[in-house]
Amino acid sequence: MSKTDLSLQRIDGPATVTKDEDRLWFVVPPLHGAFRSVAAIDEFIKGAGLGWSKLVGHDIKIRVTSHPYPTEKWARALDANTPNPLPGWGEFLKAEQRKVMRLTLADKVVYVGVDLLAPARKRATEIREISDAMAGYGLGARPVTSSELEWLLHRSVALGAPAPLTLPPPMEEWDTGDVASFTDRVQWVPPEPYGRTTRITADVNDRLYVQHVCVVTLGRIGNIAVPEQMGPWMQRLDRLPWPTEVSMTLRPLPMDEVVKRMRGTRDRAEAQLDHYENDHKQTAPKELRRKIKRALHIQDRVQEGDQLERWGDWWVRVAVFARVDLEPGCSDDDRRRAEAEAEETAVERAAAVTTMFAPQFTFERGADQYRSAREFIPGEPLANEAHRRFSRLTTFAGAIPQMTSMVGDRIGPHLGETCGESQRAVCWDTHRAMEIGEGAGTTVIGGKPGAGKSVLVGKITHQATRRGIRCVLLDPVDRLGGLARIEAIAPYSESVNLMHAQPGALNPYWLLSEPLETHHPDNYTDVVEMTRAERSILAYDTILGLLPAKLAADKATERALEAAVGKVPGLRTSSPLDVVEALEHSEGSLAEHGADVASRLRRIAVMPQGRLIFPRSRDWAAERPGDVEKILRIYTMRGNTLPPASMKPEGWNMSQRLGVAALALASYLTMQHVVSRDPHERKLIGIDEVHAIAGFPAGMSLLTQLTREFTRHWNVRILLSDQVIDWITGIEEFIDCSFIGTTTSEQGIKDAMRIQGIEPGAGFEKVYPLLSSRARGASEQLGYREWVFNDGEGGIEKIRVRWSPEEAAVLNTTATGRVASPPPPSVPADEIDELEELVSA
Amino acid sequence: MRLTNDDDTSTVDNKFLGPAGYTLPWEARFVSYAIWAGLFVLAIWFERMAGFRGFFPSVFAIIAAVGGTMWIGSFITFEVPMRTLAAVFWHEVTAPRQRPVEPPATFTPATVKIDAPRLRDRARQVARWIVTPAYVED
Repeated sequence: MSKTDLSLQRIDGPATVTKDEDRLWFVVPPLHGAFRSVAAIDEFIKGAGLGWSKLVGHDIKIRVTSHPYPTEKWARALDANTPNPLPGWGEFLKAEQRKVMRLTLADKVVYVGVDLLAPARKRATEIREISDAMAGYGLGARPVTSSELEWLLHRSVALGAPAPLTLPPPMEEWDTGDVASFTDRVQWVPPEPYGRTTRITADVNDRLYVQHVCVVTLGRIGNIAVPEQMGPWMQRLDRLPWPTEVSMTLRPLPMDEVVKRMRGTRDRAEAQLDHYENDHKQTAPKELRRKIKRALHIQDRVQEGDQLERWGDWWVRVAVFARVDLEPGCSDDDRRRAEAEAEETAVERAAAVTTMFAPQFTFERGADQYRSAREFIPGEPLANEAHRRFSRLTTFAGAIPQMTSMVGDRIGPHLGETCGESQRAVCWDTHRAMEIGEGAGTTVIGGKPGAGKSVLVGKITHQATRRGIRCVLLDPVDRLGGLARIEAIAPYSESVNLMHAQPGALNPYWLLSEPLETHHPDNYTDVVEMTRAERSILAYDTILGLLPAKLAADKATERALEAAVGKVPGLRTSSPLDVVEALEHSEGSLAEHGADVASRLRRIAVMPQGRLIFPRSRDWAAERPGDVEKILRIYTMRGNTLPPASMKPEGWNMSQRLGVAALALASYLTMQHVVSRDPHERKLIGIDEVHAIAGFPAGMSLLTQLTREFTRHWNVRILLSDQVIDWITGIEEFIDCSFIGTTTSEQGIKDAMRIQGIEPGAGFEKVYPLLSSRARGASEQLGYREWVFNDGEGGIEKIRVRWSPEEAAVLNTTATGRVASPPPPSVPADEIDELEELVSA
Repeated sequence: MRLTNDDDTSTVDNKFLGPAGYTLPWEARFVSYAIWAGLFVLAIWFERMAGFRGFFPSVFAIIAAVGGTMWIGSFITFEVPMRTLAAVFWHEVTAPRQRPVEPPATFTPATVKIDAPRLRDRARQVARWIVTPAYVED
C-alpha cells in the first residue's frame, strides 16, 4: 500500500483528516445483552434510532473490531491478586493459562466516526451537537482517545493480522509521515481482477503475516422482530469460532430527501403502471401498486415529524480472513499450496457467514474485494453503492453491534466459558465485590438434584484454597469431604465429621467465642455483654427448635424456657444442660410444665446428635473439633437427618428437628473461623442445604447476620447452596451474585428469575429446564454443567463449568453403580422410632 | 420491535414495452436499451476499424450488441445497478497488482562488435611496453 494511495492524511486527537473530509470518532461501550427484557431491548433500539436521527445529513462510519486480551495479561493480574498462594501455585496457574488460551478473552470494540460538515472555523456547535447525539441513551458513546484511534488504524491497515501488542506512545497529532508508518510494513494485493480475496502481508512485531481477506456485503433482509424473533442481528457474528471485522456506513437522510425520493418512486411507478395498462392494455406487476402505496406511507410518516420516523441509506460489510501457514524455508510449491488453501479457507468462512444469517439476511460475496476491504480503514471512502439498504433508522439500530457476552472479571481464576452467543472465558474473583465493589459478597447456588451444585461449590473452594484463601465448608451430606484429598491441597486441608465429634462440639454457649479486645477497642465491655446475651438467645432458640411444634408453640413453654435461660449466665462455659436443670426447678405455675419440658429434653440429650448439643458432664472438651491451622476445613454431618426441602417445619419429626438444630449450630461453628481471623484476610464460607437453616428459629437471623455483616466487614465470600431457594426473602439485598442450574419446577424458576433480576414473561423461563441437557439415550456422563450466572455487576450469561480430572475424582457425586465400601452407620431406624415415641409421650 | 426494510421503494424496474399501442415481442428495461445502443456503436466502430462494411456486418453488430446487452444485463440487478457495475469494473481494472519480479541484469559480451584489426595492432603495441617480472612479489 503506497503512501500516495491512503486517503488519511492526519490524526488530530479524536479526529481523522483526509483531503475530502474530517471525521470525529467515538467509542461505544460494550453492552451485555443476554436475558434483557423485550421492553429494555425495544427502548435501546429506539434510543439508538433517535441518536442516529439527530445526525441527519452526516456520513457515519461504524467499525466493529475486537481488542484481544492476552492470556498472559490475565495470568499476571490473577497472580498479582493472589498475595498468599499455596505451594504449587505456579504449576496451577500454567495449567489454567493453557485452558484459557483455547478460549477468547477478547473485547468487542465499536468505533463510530461522524463526518464534520461545517467549515473549520465554525465547528464548535456542530461538535457539541454530534457529541450530545452520540452520548444519548442507546449509544452512550464517548470521544475516542488518540491511542484508541491508533489501535483502530493498526487493526484496519493490517486487516486480519494479529493485533499489535506493543504500540508506540500515543501522540496527540499525527501527520502524513506518521500515518505512513502504519502502512510501510503492510502490503495489500488483489491477486487478479474480480478475485475472491485480497492478499495482505503485514510485518507485526517483527514477524511476517500473510492472510487472505474476503469481504461479504449485506444484501436483502426480511422483516424481522428484535428481540422477539431473534436477538440483535449483528450479535450473531459472535457465534463464529474465528474473529471478524465489520464496517458499516450509515447516511441518515433529511426529510426532504426522503420525500423527494418517494415522490420519484411514485412517479416512476405510476408511469410504469400507465405504460402497462393504458399504452399496452396489459396487467401491470402487482409490485408497482405496492411500491406506490409504500412510498406514500413513508412520505406520510416522514412528514409527520416524529423523530423516530427517519429513514437512511446504509451498507454493512463483514471481513473474514485466513492466515497463510508457512514453515520457514519452505519451497515455492509449498508456498503456493499454502496460499491456495488460505484463499479457499477465507472463501469458506465467507460462505459460513452467509449461511449463519440465512434466511432472514443474505450476504453477498461480490466483486471489488480490494476496495471493499480498504473501506475498513478509517478515512477510506465507501467502496461502491451496491447492496444499499434503505430503511427506518430503527432497523439499522436493531443491529446493536456493541452487544456482547460479558460476565465475570479479569482478575479471578478461570471458572468456565460462556455458552450463549459466543464462547468467552469466564473468570471470577470471589472477593472483588467486597474489596473493590465495597458491597456484600453472598452467592446463591441453586438447582434441582444433579444440577451440579456440590461440584460448583467444590470447584470454587478448590481454586480459593489454592490461592491461600481460608475456606470453611459446611457440607451436611458429605459431598465435598473429598476436596481434602486433592493432592496439592491435602496437607492444608481437613475434613471433620461433626457427627463423630466430641460431646459439646455444638454447645450453643460454647460456639460464640469471646470477642477480642483488639477488635473492639472502644466498646469492649458492651460487646462482651452483647455476646453473652446472644449466647442466651441462641440457647433459647436451639432448645425451642428441638421441641415438637405443638409444644414449642405453647405460651407456657416459652415462659418456662425464658425463665430457665435467664437463670443461666451467658458464659462460654455454660451448657444447655444447665437450662434443663433450671427448667426442672421452675417455680410457681410453671413448675409442672417446666418439669415436663425438662424430661423431654433429657431424652433428647442422650441421643447421638443430642450429645453434641447437650454435653454429658462439665468436663466436656473445650477444644474446637479439628482446631488446627488449616486453610481448608470441611465440616460434614454424614448421618445427620434433615427434612426434605419441601417439608414445612411443622411436619418435622424429632430426628429431623435434631438434624436441623445440629446443622444450624454447625453454621455458627463455621462463623467462628471467620471472627477469629483478621478482618482484612480473605475468607470463604460455603453452606449447603440452606433451607434447613432457614427453617430453624434462629436460622434466618443467622443468615441475615452472615450476609449483612460478615461478608463486608470480615471480607468473607459466602456460598449458599440449595435445591430450593425460597428462603432468600429477607436477605435478597445482600445477594450480589448467583448461579442457577437446571431447574424445572415452576416455583423454582420464578424464584431463580427473581433472584437474578430477569423479567418474567419474556420467554426466559424455558432457559432453566434446558440447562445441562443431554441427548436422549446418551451413554456417558456429561462432563460439565451449565448455569445462568449473574455476576452482580450487570453481567448475566449462560456459562458452562467443567471440572478438572482431580476435581472430578473427588467431587463427582453421580452414582456409578459400583460400591467401594459400606457407608458409615447412622442411628438405626428402629432406635429412632423408639426414641420418637419416648419424646412424644 | 418489528424492524422493516424498504429497499423496494427506492428503485423501480422501468421497462419499455414498445410505443403506445404496439407491444414489442420482448420486455426490456430502459437501461438495456441504453447498453445496447452503446454496444452497437462500439461494434460498428470495431467493424469499421477492421474494414468490415455492408449489411451482414451490421446485422452481426446488432446481434452481438443484443448478446452483450443480455450478458451485461444479467449482472444489473436491484442490488447492483448499472452505475455501480461500471464503478466496480473500473475499480477492478485499476486495483494495484503485484508487479512481476524483474529479471537480474545480464550481460552478453559476445554480442559486442569488436573492430578486431585495430585492437590487435594496439595490443601488440601495448604488449611491448609491459614488463612482466619473472616472479610475483607478495
